[in-house]
Amino acid sequence: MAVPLTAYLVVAALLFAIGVYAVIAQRSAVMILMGIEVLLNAIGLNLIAFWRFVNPGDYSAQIFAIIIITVGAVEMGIGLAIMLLLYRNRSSVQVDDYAELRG
Amino acid sequence: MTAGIQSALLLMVPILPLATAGGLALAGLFARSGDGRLRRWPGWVALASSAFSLGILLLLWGREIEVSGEWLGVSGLAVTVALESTELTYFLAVLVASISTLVILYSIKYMETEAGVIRFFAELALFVGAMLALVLAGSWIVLFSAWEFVGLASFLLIGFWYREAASRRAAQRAFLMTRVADMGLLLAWLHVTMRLHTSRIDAFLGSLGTPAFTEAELLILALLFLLAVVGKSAQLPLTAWLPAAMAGPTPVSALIHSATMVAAGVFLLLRLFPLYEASPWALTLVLWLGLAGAVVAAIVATGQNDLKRLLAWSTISQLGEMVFAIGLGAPLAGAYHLATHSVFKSTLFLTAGAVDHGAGTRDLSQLGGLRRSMPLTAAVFGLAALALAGVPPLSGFWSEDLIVAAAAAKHPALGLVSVGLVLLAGLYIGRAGVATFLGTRRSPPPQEGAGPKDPGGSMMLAMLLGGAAAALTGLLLHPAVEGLLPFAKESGAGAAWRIAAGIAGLVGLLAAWLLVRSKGTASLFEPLPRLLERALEAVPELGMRTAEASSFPLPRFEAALDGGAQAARGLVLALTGGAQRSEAFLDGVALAGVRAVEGVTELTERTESRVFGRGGDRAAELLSLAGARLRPAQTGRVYLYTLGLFLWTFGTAVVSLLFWR
Repeated sequence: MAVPLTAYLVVAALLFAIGVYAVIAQRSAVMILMGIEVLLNAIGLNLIAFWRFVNPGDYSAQIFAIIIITVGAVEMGIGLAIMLLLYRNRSSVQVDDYAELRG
Repeated sequence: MTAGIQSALLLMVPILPLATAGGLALAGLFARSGDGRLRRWPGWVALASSAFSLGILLLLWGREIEVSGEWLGVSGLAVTVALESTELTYFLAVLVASISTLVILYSIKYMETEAGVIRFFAELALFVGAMLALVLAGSWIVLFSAWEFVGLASFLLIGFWYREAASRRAAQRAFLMTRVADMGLLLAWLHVTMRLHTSRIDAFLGSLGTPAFTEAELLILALLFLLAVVGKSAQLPLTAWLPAAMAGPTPVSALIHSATMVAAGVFLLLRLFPLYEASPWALTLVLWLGLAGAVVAAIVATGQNDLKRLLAWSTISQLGEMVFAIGLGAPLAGAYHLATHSVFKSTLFLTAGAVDHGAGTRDLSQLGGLRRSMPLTAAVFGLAALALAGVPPLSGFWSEDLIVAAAAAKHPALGLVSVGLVLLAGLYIGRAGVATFLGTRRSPPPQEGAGPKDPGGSMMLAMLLGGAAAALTGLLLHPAVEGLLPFAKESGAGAAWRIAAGIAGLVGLLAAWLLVRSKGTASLFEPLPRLLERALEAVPELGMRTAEASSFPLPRFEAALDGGAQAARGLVLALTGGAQRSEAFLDGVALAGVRAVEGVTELTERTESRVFGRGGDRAAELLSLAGARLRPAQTGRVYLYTLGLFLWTFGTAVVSLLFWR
């Protein structure tokens, strides 16, 4: 039972679309961070799928994927820390409440 | 059954509860807490998944099955994911699945009035799945992730009432203390994987006879694994989290903090027993660590007044006995006691929960006389307590008998200490039982009519099943236990020791009865238990203090920096004063110059304002108008910016694709 490359790409595209939707449509900063995480994972899936089907002998794609996961974790840590500080100052994580730069 | 079906079934054992946990968590997003009928379904779903896992395990009886797949293969390093059902892992898996089923059955009734039942059962199912994966793990990575997942589930469930500060603190303490210990497991398995280039556990166990590892390496590995065991099984000195974990709901204490998760440490020792056989130093350390933990925790348990905390200390003591047995080189006794202890201790916790619900308190100094109003609870508690005290022919007798025999065979003094442990067990559990169920109610004084009642429904059913199991497990298992486990029976000491062990528990119970009758709930060894307890509580405090102290120089450093900045500011101010005076003089000179220049400027200005000025004004007006028009584009709404970003990227991609070729 072989899963074709296209299937992986479709799933990754769907994930990416979900991520974009979350980033655009969500108002809570935490949900936006989650959307970004989904985006990263979509990219990781693409990388791994291409690695498996195009050049399975070379392991650098796996390393890339692991680096993406690591960066994602770090980004989440910093992002959540920023959110926590914002929340302490404003007691809100709704991004619409941060509109100082409105023209 | 073909091999494929067997592997699929084995895979389903942990995946079924895990999937249930995911499903319940999703359902929790949409469900609103409703009426009683709606509140019970999460419990039934979790019960079904756990029971199915148990059923599948029973289907696989007596088969050696292995499922493995390579998850990550970088040249020369194979990270495999594997589950295997061998004698030991199968035995433990059946134990875990049956106790989980029992406790979930109990929780359905126990939790029906709580808010957040869906969350509770989702977390419970997560725990069951992770625990099954932990015992069935065939590769380090599965073992380690399951090990962390049970820790996570334990954290979530201790903090189930997260609005109460005490629960939150207890959850954090448990999580942090076990995490510190988990570092040992992580380092050890990473090292093994690095050296052997495979993450299979049996590859490691198979390499022990070969010169793959040096002796010193094996010792360090054994000590690192032991650190993880100490954390998970709450042995000395990391004991304090387990009594604190009693802040969670009682079914959680029964399942996680007495029967299964805390036994994971002992399980790891059993799983890696060949490693400890290969490094005798570590095995000796295991022996003394277990013995010390067992004795200290038993003494602390004799002074506890909270029923659940008493049981928690008793759990630490019993786990210490298992570790002690393994240290003696008698893993069969350790594994056997692990099984019987899981059964009778979870039953004791279930009855403690019933007492808590019925009487509204767990404080021994307020309870008493519940025998009359809660006869069935009292009977089940009595059965399980007798089993704990090692009274023949209940379950505890058979396994404690093996431990005493192994200890006496090693050295008569060790035999005496282990008989003493049985006596202490009789003493503390007898004190708890007598103070709760015999005599009369201490506070509030007994009233007519509205007294506490035996629980009904699934709680009672689970308690009766647990009581029956606590009574019969030893009797049923005893003839078969050698065939079920991969360890050989030790040639035990003579019959005299066995009789001593059988009597010691009874003596302890009797002493407890006399004690409570004459002195009430005051403790026998006061103030020793309290002092020991406080000393053990101080361990995590010490860690926290050290962390705080190491951050202390920071404010002082900051204050010094501040002072420096202040001084610099003063200096600059003084300098500025001098500069101002000299400037005033220069100003006078400059003023004259300015006057002259002004004359010229006025002339220029006139030309400028007439000729260039108007043009400039126009341009400025135009720009400001354009600015005002453009300003609304900066909406201050994040999603519009993001949308713009994505559209721009998309547009660039489209354009570059169109014009690339």
